[in-house]
Amino acid sequence: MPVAWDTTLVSKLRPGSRALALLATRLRSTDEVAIPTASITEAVFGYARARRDVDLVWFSRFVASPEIRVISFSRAAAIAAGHVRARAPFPARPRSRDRRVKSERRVAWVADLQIAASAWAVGIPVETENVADFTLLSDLLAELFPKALPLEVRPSPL
Amino acid sequence: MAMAKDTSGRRRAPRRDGERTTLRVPRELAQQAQELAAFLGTTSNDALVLMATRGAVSYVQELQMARAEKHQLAAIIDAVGPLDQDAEFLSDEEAREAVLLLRSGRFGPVV
Repeated sequence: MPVAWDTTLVSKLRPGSRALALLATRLRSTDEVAIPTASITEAVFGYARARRDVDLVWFSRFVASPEIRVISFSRAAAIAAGHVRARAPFPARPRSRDRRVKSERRVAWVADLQIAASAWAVGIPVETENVADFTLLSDLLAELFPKALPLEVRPSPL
Repeated sequence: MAMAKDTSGRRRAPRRDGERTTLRVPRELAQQAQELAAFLGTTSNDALVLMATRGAVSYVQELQMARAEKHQLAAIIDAVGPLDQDAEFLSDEEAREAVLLLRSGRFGPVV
């Protein structure tokens, strides 16, 4: 099955990067990398705000390529995400190393929730540098939908 | 006397196990196989097998994901439970407020 990359890994997809090389080796394989639409929005937003056209153009063309597998925020994902957000509207307490302010953590929580729900909806695992938050989301999904396939969370392969 | 065939510049495909078959390949697909073969330095037949193998992986994955999504939707419906025919719906105003609650930001943590 494909494996979804969250935004922590998508942010490492740059020309010549190790992340890009790994994604390329996994194309059309049993562990092909799938990029969630929520991560695409985050990356495009960031590159657009950075006002460095080359990054924005490269990334836009990269994800527009039919070679790259993208997973959508589907109807099952949308319903599940609404339930999870109602149960846990805000992120858990920050870890001691987390330097983000509250508003940043809240926005990230919503994006992570959409990414987790997108992967969960099609039964594929998530690879992330943020295992703690995604494990929490996986637990919430399992609690809310006990008969569903669980969301598997894997640490970053990079 | 028969001339020995010069095969020194000929492309070679890796030896494969499996059944031999004859196919009629659509022109567009044959063209794609030739392009891939030129890129990989192999034969058109080998490129065609490679394309079929990769296509099969994609097809199986799409099928598995579609089945998973069907399963997850059923699990959602199971978790939300049946519709209580006697229960009262929110008023129009309450419903509107509920649907717009997320964008209003006026909500606290669940207690």
